[in-house]
Amino acid sequence: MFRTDGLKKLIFLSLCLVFSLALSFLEGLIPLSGTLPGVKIGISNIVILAVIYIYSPKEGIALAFLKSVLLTLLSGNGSSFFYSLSGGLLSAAVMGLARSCKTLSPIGVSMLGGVSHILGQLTCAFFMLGSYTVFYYYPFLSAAAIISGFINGYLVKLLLERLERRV
Amino acid sequence: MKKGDVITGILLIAITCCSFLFMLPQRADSELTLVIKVNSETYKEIKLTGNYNKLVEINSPFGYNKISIDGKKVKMVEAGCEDGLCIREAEISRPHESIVCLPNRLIVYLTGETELDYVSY
Repeated sequence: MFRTDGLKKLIFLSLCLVFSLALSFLEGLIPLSGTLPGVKIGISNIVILAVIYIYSPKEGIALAFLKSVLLTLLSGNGSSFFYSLSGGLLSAAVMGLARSCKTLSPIGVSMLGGVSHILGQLTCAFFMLGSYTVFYYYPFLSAAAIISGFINGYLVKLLLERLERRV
Repeated sequence: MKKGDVITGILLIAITCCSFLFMLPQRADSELTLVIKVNSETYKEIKLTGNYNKLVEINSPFGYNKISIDGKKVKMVEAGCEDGLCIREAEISRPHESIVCLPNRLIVYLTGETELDYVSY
């Protein structure tokens, strides 16, 4: 079902990219998402994590990078590029590494991805804003990241199980 | 769920709890300094002595913000950014607290003169 090379793979990954963008916008409609800066459910990460499992970390990182670029172009806010890029790339890289760990299921990988996402964003904010006080947001963001990481990971686990039944 | 997930979860939660402890409320000591930085460059530094009541405007290439200083409390009252999250943030009054406007690359934070970062018993 999933080709490893060629046009069909390109088309499928492009659709995944668009799907993750659509999920990002869908998030904006959820009431609590976005009260504190960075407190999001991050359901677009479901797509990235699924791609990491279906293909490889390389495709996941590429997807994360392109997602940041397109999100910036679509939302029209230049500063957001650095924040989303730093968080998304670090998150995809960590999830890609964690994927090869045999004792972790998508749930654990997703939780690690969530926490590394906020760490990347906080570090980026530290360099862009120039104050150590941004790290004081970490506890709240981390709590949200762990919870949303758990939910996303569980959903990816369900998704992969269903996909395997089809193949 | 695998064993690794549980260990990871517990570790992450433990780190989160430890970081909460680092954020114990500090005494708002007498020497409170308000620092305003735009794009990592200091825009203004104001010593809050308790009698300072003022509205400070920040005009930068990135955007417009206005903060109100009321004695030792600082709050964002107006912002040109489209999400307006910075206005919804609570007022800050203790060291290490901050208000950020990410689209405008603005951070407004308080530092104290104290050498202590936290109090241990």
